[in-house]
Amino acid sequence: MNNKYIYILFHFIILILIQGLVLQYVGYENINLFIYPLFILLLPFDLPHGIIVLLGFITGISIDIFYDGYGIHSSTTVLMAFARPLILSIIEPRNGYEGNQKISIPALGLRWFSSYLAIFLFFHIFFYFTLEDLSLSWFSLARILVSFIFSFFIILLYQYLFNSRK
Amino acid sequence: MNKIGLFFLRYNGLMVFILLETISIYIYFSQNQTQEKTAFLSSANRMVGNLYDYRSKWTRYWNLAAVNDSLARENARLKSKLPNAMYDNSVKKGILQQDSLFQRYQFTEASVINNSVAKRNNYLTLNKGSKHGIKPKSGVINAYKDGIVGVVVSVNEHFSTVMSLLHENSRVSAKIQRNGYFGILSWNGKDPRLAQLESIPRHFKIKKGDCIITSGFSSMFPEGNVIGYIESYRFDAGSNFYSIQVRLIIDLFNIQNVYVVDDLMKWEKEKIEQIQNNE
Repeated sequence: MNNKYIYILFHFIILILIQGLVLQYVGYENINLFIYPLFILLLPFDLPHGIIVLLGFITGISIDIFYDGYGIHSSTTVLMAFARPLILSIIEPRNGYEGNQKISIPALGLRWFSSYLAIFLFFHIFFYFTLEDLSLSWFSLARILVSFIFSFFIILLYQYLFNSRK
Repeated sequence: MNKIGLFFLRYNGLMVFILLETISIYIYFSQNQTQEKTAFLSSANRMVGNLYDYRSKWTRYWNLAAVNDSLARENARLKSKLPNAMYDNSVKKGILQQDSLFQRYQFTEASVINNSVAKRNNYLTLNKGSKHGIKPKSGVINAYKDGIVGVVVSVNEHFSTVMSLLHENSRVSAKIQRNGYFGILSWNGKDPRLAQLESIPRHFKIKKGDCIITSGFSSMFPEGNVIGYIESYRFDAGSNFYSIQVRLIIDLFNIQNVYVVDDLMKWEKEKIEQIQNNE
């Protein structure tokens, strides 16, 4: 039980550092790469909804401090953390989830995981860029798509490399 | 009290969401408008500033950094002795007397420890802060050669953040060197190598390759610092002004050393301009 929370804290620190110290400098011109949404994505099923939203806020504010974002990442992450149960219910497998199941590729299958990741990440990036530009244009749509594709594969790769155990 | 808080966290995701989302949106919109920002919420925050400091020490060849710092300090000292850093006090007497030059601008050297060009609103972090005499709203120029970088927005004891030229709210007063027409330089968020010069009326003659320099109208940058060259220009239908693309002289992606400009006569200049505005 305790072990689980230490693991969550550890994962939080790792993802914030990867995002803040590495991925921030990999983006080219107007492309941003995201890995930190994975933290909200992988939180256990049995956490209360309020706690997930609160953790979303903490994650977003930490990224904001690294990015000089002044609230833009936290607005996006809080919104996505709030929408997480909705996304989970949309793509629920036929036999449902088990209460203490871990969200990972081996536990729920690559197909389920990638559709979960794709929906979550796309809306995250979409809200982020819309809030940043405060308008929609072909240019911002192209940014959204390219950022989404690269972030998607980076997160899948990260999952395979470091998180594939059950 | 504690029990009520726990109850909300456990059962009422919606309430927590509305509360936190309001806070985030409020921070975003309030901080984006004003010039001076909360240092705690930016990378001028001490912990993140230190992290950035460590990282830039690792990525830089350690021996070069020490040599570089001493050179930059020496350069800043020499640069503040140049005539264009002085305030010319001579009154048309034909000859320039030794004591007629006063110190007007002071330059403090600093290293860039965090930078971005990929976002719509970009910021830089410098390794100098209020302890070294850096104040908000002072200009930042590139060291060793011409080119401007941005404006300091928040400062704490050891670090400061700079609103890059590549920012939605960045406005720099600039003029064309050849004939002195002045306009406002801003950035449209697309190519980090191109900035846009606005408010030059279309009856003025300009040509491709004209040199754009700082005008010295605001006290952020000294006059005559080269910003870039005119890449292309066109008229928009129905507009009385040119729309000019300026190719920046520096690549904002790889700046390492900068000077922070401090105008020693800023207070005096603002005071006299204030009188005009009040009338």
